[in-house]
Amino acid sequence: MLSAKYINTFSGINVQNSDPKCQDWIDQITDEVGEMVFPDFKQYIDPKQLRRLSMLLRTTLSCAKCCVAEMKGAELRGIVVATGLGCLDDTRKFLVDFLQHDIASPTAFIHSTHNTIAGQLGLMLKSHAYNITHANTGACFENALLDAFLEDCGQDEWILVGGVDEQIDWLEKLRLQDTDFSELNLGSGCTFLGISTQNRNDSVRIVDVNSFLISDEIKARDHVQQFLEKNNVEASSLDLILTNSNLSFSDLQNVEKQNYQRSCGAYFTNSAFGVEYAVQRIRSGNKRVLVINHHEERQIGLTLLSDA
Amino acid sequence: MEIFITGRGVVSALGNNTEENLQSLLNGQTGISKGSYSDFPEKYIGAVKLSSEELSDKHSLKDVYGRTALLGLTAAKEAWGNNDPSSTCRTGVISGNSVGGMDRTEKHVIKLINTGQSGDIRPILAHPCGYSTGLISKIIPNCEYANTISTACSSGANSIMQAVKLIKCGRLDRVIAGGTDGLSNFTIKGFSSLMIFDEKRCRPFDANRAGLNLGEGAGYVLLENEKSLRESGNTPLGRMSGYGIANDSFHQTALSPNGKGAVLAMHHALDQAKLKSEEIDYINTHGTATENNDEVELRAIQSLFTEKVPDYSSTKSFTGHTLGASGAIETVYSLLAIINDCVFPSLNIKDDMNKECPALQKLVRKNVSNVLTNSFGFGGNQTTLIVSKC
Amino acid sequence: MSSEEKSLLKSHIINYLNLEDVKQEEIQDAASLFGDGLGLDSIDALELIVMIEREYNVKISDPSMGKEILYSVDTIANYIFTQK
Repeated sequence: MLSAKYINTFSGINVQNSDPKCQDWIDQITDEVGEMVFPDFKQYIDPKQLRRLSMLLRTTLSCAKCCVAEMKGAELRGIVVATGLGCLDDTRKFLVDFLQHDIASPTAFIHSTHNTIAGQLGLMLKSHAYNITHANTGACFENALLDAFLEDCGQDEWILVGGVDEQIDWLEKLRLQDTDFSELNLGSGCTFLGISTQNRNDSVRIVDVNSFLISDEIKARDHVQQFLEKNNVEASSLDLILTNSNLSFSDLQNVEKQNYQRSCGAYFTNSAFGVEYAVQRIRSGNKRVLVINHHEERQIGLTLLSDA
Repeated sequence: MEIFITGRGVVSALGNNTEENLQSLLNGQTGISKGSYSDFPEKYIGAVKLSSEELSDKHSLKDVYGRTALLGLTAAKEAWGNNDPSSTCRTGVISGNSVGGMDRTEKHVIKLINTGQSGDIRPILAHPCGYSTGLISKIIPNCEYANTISTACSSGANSIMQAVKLIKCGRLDRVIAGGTDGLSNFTIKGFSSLMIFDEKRCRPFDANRAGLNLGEGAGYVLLENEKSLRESGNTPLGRMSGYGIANDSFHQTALSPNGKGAVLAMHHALDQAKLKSEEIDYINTHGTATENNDEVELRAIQSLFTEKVPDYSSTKSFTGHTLGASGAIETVYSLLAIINDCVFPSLNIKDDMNKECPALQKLVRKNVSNVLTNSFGFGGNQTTLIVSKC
Repeated sequence: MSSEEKSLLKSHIINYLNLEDVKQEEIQDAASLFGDGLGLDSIDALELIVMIEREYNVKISDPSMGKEILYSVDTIANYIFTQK
């Protein structure tokens, strides 16, 4: 029987917050998805290393370092990363490079694979532990969180879990060409969590997490219902439902509902932003929050969090 | 809890299904040839002998999907076979790949780069790694869970690992798990920039090996727990008896000289399978034929298998390096070794890298009960799987 | 190579390797670029091979020759000079 898991700490850089040390930014949150503002990365990363690192990797390493600092004393058992499109800027760089030149630059190629994120973390943290990258666009963050949730952690061990995606101008150009995506406000974000079996100060409990394929027989709301029932939770007892789609919960009149995508923009791992937001809400007094990831019609990711 | 393998599917340069692959392995018939990939006619490559149009026709699809998706669909269909949907067994698909729909994307971005417009964007929508997984999930009736793992050359192996984990933890009862990767100019140019291609046929574990040949393909297994087996009535072909996963944490692309990550991965796998090193009958190595990989991998094997190194070989000498598919294709080959009681050779060796402990160079028929297979990816991702007889 | 040409070579090195905080004057002609020098590694070596081909049209097709050729600005300059 696996022990309960808690989110002990988190760190994020997104369009609402540029300070990876800040764990208290939801009061300033707006519905505006502006440009990302980045911290001074030299605070977190050796300047000699910075030169090769894309913004996505810089945000990753900075946020991870903040989590590591908070989880001092525990041994890192695993690094689990979710990313829908991976290292897009390096992919674009290498594509442009090899399409225009006979001989292409290796650095961008090496950094273009999705697992560069987790790989760089393994290098920086000198960790030989479990290291994996989840990339299913529909619910990669939930799949990653589930992977960590199911790890049999010892009491002195912790797992670093992250959700990272970056927007590049090509995505914006593609968006403009397709009427299906004209309403979409693209964003970027990086969220990392420190998870363990220890209920420390300010910990938030991960009650359950999973992802499901949606069918004609079992629709999105059915999955939500079954997920909550399995965990003996009445939907009406939730304090807050966070979602990134138009999935309606108008029947739950006493439950607060928020669409986090309005604040962080659309990217495949934005439910990680939703979880960051949820953790802060629980730390401020909410008891139970459901984070829903339903940006793709065929798949839904669900994370149920509660106060510890 | 036992995890049974009841289905398998593979497509590679050796053939378009498991039986064709097996015959090529038994006959020592390589699938690697010069000119098999038209954009790079001078390179030795292990291409699947079906064009994208032929693959699309095979699946009655319009030709919008990339090779990664088409190859994945082919092998996953074979692995699923004629299994029925279940209302009581939770079914999932976990698939690994590294390049996604890049073979289509790279053609479309030329226009995007030059004009700011990309024309029909549907091919680019098929770019993400998860796209092929979604396609495969549609052929698995009542499939309720889908995941994509992207850890470079260990993607397929890690997908199988993840499937074993989810079944053991009681989240799923049966899973189609494996990996797929299609050839693309992006990948060929990428490996060229690292200067690790052999201009001739690759020679894993040869003293004069000069690098790898690329390949493409897909491999999947159907894994079931006992509850699912009772319902399906399938005959188990083998078992996934253990896995180990570690990070080398040394360099983004090269293995550490002492192969620490590799040793840890193999050690964890043996531990989980509750097997002693002498119980391993065959190691299907990662064996890419780069100077670094083969030297370090054998050193790691020798450090763990101190009494006697088992028979070992690299089937990448047959298929080329199939990147994200390799760990899964090689899991299927490990299963074939068990079913057919034989171990496959490494091709093209003229001068053994290690004379005291050379790689197998001929097919050997013997009892094969446990096979260990390694997959080492960029980013230090090292995974070992053990396949065992039932 | 003249000192202007060497200066240009140094600026190429800085550009291709994204050595944002390094000035040309800081790169000594004869000093080792790898290890303790500028702290470059094997991936940088591959990038320098790309730079030499693109900027000078000189190929290094065997990466094992790279160690000697790429040792310092001087050795790179000499190699380019002998190949042209």
